Amino acid sequence: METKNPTPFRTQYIQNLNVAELLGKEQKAEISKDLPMRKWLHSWLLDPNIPGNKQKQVDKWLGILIVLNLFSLVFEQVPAIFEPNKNLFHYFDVFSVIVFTIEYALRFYLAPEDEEFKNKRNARLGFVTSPFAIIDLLAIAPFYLQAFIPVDLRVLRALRLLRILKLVRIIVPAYQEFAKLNQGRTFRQKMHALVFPTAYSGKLHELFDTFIAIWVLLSVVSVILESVESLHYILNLQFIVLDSIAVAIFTLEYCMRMYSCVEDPKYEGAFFGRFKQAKSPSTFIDFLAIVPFYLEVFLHHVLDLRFLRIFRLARLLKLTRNSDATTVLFRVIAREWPIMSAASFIMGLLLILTASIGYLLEHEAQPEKFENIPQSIYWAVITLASVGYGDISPVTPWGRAMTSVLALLGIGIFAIPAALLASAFSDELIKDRDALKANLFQILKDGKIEAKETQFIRDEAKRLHLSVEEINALIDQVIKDKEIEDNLKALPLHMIAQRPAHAIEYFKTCISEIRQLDMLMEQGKFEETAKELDRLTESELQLWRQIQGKA
Amino acid sequence: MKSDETQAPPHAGGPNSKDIVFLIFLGLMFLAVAVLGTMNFREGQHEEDAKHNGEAWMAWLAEAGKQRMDENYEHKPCAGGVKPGKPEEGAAADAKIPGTWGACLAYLQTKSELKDLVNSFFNKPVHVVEKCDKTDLSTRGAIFFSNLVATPAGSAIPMVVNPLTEADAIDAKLQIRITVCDKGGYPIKVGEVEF
Repeated sequence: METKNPTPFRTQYIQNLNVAELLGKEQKAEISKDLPMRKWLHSWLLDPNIPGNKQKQVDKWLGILIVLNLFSLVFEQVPAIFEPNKNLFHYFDVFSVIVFTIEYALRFYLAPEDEEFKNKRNARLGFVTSPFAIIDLLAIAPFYLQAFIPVDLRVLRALRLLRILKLVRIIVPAYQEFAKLNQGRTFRQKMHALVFPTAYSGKLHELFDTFIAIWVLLSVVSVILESVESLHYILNLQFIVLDSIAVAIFTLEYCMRMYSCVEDPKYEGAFFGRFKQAKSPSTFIDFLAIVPFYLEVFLHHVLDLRFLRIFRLARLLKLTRNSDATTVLFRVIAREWPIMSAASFIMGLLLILTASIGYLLEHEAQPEKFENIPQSIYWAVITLASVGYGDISPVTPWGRAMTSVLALLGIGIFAIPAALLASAFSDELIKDRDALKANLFQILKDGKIEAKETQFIRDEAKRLHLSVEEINALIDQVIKDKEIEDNLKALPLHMIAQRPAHAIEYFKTCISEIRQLDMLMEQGKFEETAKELDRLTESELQLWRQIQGKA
Repeated sequence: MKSDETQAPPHAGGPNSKDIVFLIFLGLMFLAVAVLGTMNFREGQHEEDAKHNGEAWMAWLAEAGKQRMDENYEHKPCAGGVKPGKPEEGAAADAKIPGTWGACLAYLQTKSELKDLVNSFFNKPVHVVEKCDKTDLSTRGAIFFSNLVATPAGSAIPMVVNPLTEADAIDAKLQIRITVCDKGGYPIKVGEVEF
């Protein structure tokens, strides 16, 4: 391995650490140019055992093309979409067949290099008769067949459905990996591994998530397009079918999550565990995604529930399950809530005062616009928020003077919550990085990185959007801190005090340790105990809060 | 970090009795959604039928719009150029006044091929209403006509939309909007036609 400018600590403790590999980032494949053409091509394009080659990209793009083919087949059944875009559909079909034919030819040519076929007497014959190759051939054969035999268009379309079978090339290896990971585990544990991200999930869980994400996007796009009158007119039935399929998928997913969640120790207990899971934001969003369908079907004769349709857009929130951004946002809002509510209180106060003064100054001049205080509140909001529609504006000199002051005040007042949120986000990031640093230190201390620890670093790097260089810098910083800490700890306090640079580093170490203390303790327990037992003075407590960035 | 999981018991393997109950429940849920989806689809098909009815009316009115000003137009009650008059002597009390939309509508609903159109929500002939009403579900699948009157040049809105009443004269050309009512009693605009 190599790292930039390895320090003694690094060379001493972390032998052969390759951060790029650790993070699962793209690596440069080590494939010799001197290899024979066939071997070289196979190594680059089809060999799954060479890290950094193009095999994963090839699989990914083929997978995307297969899914697009599926959509194309579905849309071809809709005359309103197919007829005006006939040529486009045809060209896409030709393009797909060309790509799939090249893929088939390539696999056929490279079969003697493939682990699966190279030991057979005739590798290419072995390839041609293998199930995957038969599926590949079936996917392209109908296109060539029509050139020689007149085939009914409907039969041709039905045969083209066989292209979906190409997905087995992606699904089967993922399933095999999943089966291996979950060998000897119960059915419910397997289901849990499939629907929730766990150490046993593997690629199949990623495919499951992708499948759900595709349906979320399809369903949201259909809700948006439904509001276009002309499209809704011609595609009404298609929208109904799409929504029903989406609800069926999301309902099954919801049931699977509810059934298997008890495998997580956090949700233990057949009833209370599931109830706790049902209350969690992500599962509640799942519930919101399906409930409008059932309510509308059952109650549309009794109540006008058309407005519920818009709640189907809540399905988009299902995608937040795969993103930590919303968790960070909620955490930041929860943390800053006291300050934000104080700012909101001041805003509310200013708003009512402004509206009242506006009413007082303008009512006589414009009784129809400043009819009462509630109506003036609308004007005050529009002025303070610097929107200024201009539908209500002051005409009296005093009214105009006050509006000028208000407009300036509004900029500051409305900027407070935005600034608070921005700084809280930044603080949260710093805290998370500090936590990662503390964890990195623990991980690197023993000189080896275990699989669980690798996964942790990968997850954290992904969550905090850290690049290989940034992780490297963090590791270097951890090592540097450790070295200084080790050196300083060996020195008595009066020796540290002799050098201001050492004193500063010592101070930083102390602060870092106090911060780590808070991270390791149960939330709020420190302050609670300090207050209960009266162990700290108010100024000491204030200092603690400042160090934790809470003051 | 990824969630932890409980360890597998030693007898782990295929589904146990609880799992099988869950799988049956899952199957039933799938069946329920399929049934509800089918119900929705059928309602959607009724809406499609209503739209086809509206389109049939639109096609007929568009065709009539090209010919009804001719002297020998075959569908007399819908012919143009006839000023609304009085009901013929000896006619029934509810007889429609010639030269009005009411007379033409009555003729179309009883004598033309449009009389055979069916409102599939109720399996009855298509009825004409004054407006779609979400509180009155009997308007589902019904049809209603609006008269589009162009406003003078320079107006903020290009035309005024009024319900086409039975008393409205049809001696001159009309711009008619055809609307049908969906499963919830909401309007679906089918199109506009010159009649």
